[in-house]
Amino acid sequence: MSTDYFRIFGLEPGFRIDLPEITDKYQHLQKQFHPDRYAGKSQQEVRLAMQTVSLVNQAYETLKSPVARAEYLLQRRGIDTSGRDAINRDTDFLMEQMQLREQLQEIHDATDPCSALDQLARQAREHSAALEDSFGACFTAGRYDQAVGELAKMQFFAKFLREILLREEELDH
Amino acid sequence: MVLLQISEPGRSPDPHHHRRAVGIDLGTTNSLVATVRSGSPVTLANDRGEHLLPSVVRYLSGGVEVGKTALEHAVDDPLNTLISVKRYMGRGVEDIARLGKQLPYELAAGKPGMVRFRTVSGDVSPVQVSAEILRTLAERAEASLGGSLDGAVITVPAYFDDAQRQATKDAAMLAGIKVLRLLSEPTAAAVAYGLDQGDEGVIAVYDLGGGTFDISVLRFSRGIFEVLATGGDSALGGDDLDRCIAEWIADQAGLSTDLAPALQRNLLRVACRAKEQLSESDEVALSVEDWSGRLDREILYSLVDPLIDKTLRACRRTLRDAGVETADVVNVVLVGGSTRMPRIRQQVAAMFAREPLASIDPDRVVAIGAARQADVLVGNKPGDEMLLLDVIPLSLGLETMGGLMEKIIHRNTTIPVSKAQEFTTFRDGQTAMAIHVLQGERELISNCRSLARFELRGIPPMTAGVAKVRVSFQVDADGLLNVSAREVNSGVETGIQVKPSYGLDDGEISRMLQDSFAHAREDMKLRALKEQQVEADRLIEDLAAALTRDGERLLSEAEYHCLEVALSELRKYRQDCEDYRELQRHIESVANASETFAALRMDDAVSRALSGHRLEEFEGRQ
Repeated sequence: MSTDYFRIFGLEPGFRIDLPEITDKYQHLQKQFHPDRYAGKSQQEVRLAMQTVSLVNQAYETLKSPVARAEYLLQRRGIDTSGRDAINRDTDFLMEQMQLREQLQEIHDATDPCSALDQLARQAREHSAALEDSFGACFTAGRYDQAVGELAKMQFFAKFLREILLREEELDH
Repeated sequence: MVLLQISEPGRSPDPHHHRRAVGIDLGTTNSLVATVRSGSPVTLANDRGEHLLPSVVRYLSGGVEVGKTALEHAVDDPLNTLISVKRYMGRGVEDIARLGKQLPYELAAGKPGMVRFRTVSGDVSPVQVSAEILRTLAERAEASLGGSLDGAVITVPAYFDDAQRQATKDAAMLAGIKVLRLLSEPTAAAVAYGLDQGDEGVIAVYDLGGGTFDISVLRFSRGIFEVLATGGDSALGGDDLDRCIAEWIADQAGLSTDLAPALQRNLLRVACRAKEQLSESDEVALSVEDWSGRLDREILYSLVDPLIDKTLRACRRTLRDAGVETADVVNVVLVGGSTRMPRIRQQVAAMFAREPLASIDPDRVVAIGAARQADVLVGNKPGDEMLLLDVIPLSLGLETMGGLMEKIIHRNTTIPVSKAQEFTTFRDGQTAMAIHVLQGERELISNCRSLARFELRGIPPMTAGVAKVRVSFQVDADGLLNVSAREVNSGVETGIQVKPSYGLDDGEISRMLQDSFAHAREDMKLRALKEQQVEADRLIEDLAAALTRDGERLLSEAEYHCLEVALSELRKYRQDCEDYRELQRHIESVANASETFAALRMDDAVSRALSGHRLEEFEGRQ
C-alpha cells in the first residue's frame, strides 16, 4: 500500500481537493478495514488491518485540513516549511499579527468578551480562506518560496484560532 | 439457550453459535452490565433485582465487599471503603493534589506512579478497586447468561487520556475479562437509541452526571459514528444544582454560612426533594430547623438557570470546535440522572431547537449501547454495518528544544492512527537521544502531561544534523499509545508501550494477576492454553481460506508450498501441544512466515476496495 497520502485515496497530489469525494473513499476504507470488522480473526490480520486504517486516518486528517495539506504538499517536495524567514520579511503582516494579538490580550476588557471573541474568530477565518486561495495559486504555479510564505501566515491564523478557543474556555470558568 | 455444546476435538465450535458478550458502564458513582437478549439490549440485575451497582468497594481483613453493602459502611469505615475511584484511574499523587480536593483516604506514602490507598487488607490501586467492580458485574452476567463471557465492551468518558484508558484495560485484565473494545460513553449512548437506523447528521450527547458535565458532538454518516469533538466542565454537575438550592434555603432561613455537617446534609436533602417535587407541581412548602417557607418554579429557575446556561455555553463552544452549526444537529441524547430535571430538558430543547431523546433511562443508556456494540464485535451480528470511530481527546507530541511541545498527532484525530516524524542530532558525535512523550494542547511542556521518557542509544557517531531519528507514534483502536524510535541510517531501534508515568508496570500487573488467579476458578496455565488454541484456530482458518482464495494468484509455487507445510504443522501442534508457551511460539513462527503474504493480500484488498468503489460510483451515476 502506498504511504503517500494522496495516492492512498487514488488522487493526484495538489492543493485543491474534492473533500466530499475523499470523505466518501475514507468512509468506504474505514468500513472495510477497521479492526472492529475483524471479529474472530487472527491477531496478524487484526494488526495489519489496524496498520492500514491508521495510515488511512492520518492521510485523511492531513488532507482535510488546509494547513496540514499545504505543509504536506511542500514537505513531499522536500521543502522546509518552518517558513520563519519569509514571514519576517513581510512587515505588513507582522504589524497585523501584533494588532490581532493585542486585541486578543485585551479581550477581557471588552463589554461583551464572548461576542468580541466571535468577531475576532470570524475575522481570522476570513483571512485564512483568502490565504488558502493564494497558497493554492502559488503552489500550482510552482512559486514555492511564495507558497512557503503564505503557509506561514496560514499557520499563524490556525494557531490564533486555537488560542481564541482556549480563551473562550477560560472565560467560562 | 445452548444446553450442551459438543464439538469434536480439534475442530473449532460452530462459528454461528451465540457468544456471550456484555457491555459494561464502569461509572464514577454507579456501574452497570447489559447484554443483548433475543435481539434487545437489557441491563442485568443482581439476585435482589437491582440493576445499578454502586461503584464502591470496601476492603476487610479477609476479603472485599462490593456495591450496596460496601456503600452502607462509607460513613463508619471511611478509610477502607473506596468511593468514586474512577477519578483516580491513571493518576498520580501530584494530580490528586492539583484537583484541590481533600482526599478522604489514606494514601500509601513514598511510592511513585498511580495513587495507592492504604486499607486494612494492604495498599490497593484504583485499578484493583475497579477490577473488583468489574468482576462483580462479570459474575452477575455469567450467572444470568449461563456461562463464561466471550468478551466485553467497557465504556470510558470521551476525554479519558492514554493513562486512564490503559488503567481501565488493566482493571479488566485483572478481573479476567476479555476486552473487545474500550468505547466512549457518548458513542455508546447514541448507539443505544439505534441512531444507526436513523437520520444522518450531527448528534449531540448531553451528559450531566452528579459531579461532571460532558458534551460530545458526533457525526453519523453511512453507518459510521464519529466523535467530532468533546467538551464540558469537570467541576460542574447535578450536585451543584442541589447545592445552589440549598444555599438559597439557608439564606432564606437566616442560617449562617458556616453550618454543621449534619445540617448541611439535611439542607441538601430538602433541596433535592424540592427540586424533584417541582417537576410535578408549581410550588412546594419547605421547612428546615424552625424555619418554613415556599419555593416556586420561578425562583427555582432563577437559581438553576445560570448553571444550565454554563452547560449550554460549553455546548456551543464544542459545536464550534467540531466545525458544525446548531442547525446541523439532528438528534440530542440525554445521559446522566440529572437530566431527568424537566427544566434542563426544556433549556436543552430550546438551544438545539429540537426535543432531546430521553425514552431510555439516562442512567442505563450507556450500558445499553455498549451491549449492542459488544454483540456486534463478538460476532453475533455478521453483516451489521454499524462502525464506531473514536478520537484521541488530547494531542500527543514530543519535547523539542527550548522546553516546547511539538505535536505529532492532534487531538480529535480518529483512531487507530499512526504518524512518524524525523528529528536529528544537534551535537557532533552524539550517540544517544532522549525522547520525552507528552500529551496536551499547550506549547510549554510544563503545561503538558508527561507520558513517558526513553532513550535511543547506540546511534553511530556522526556530524550534527546527519543522523535521522524517526519517531513513530501508533495509537490503537482503544486509544493506547506505542512509541518507537529508529535511527534511519544505522537501523538502531527502541520502543516503548507508553504506560509508565502513572500506570502500573508489567511486573506489578503480572503479580496482581497471579494473586487474583490464586483465588480463581480456572488454572492460569489452562486458561492461557485455551487462549492460544483459539488463536491457533483463527490463524489456521484465516490462512487456509487465504491460500485457497489468493494463494495461486499472489504466491510463487515454492512460497505456496512452504505455507501449506507450515499450516499443516500448525494443525498438528494445535491438536497435540499441551504447553501454551510452545503453542504460542509456533503460532508466532507461522504468523511470521505468512506475514508477507498477509501484507500482500491487505494491499490487494485496499486497491480493490478503491477501484471497486470507483466502479460503484460510476454505476451509481448512470
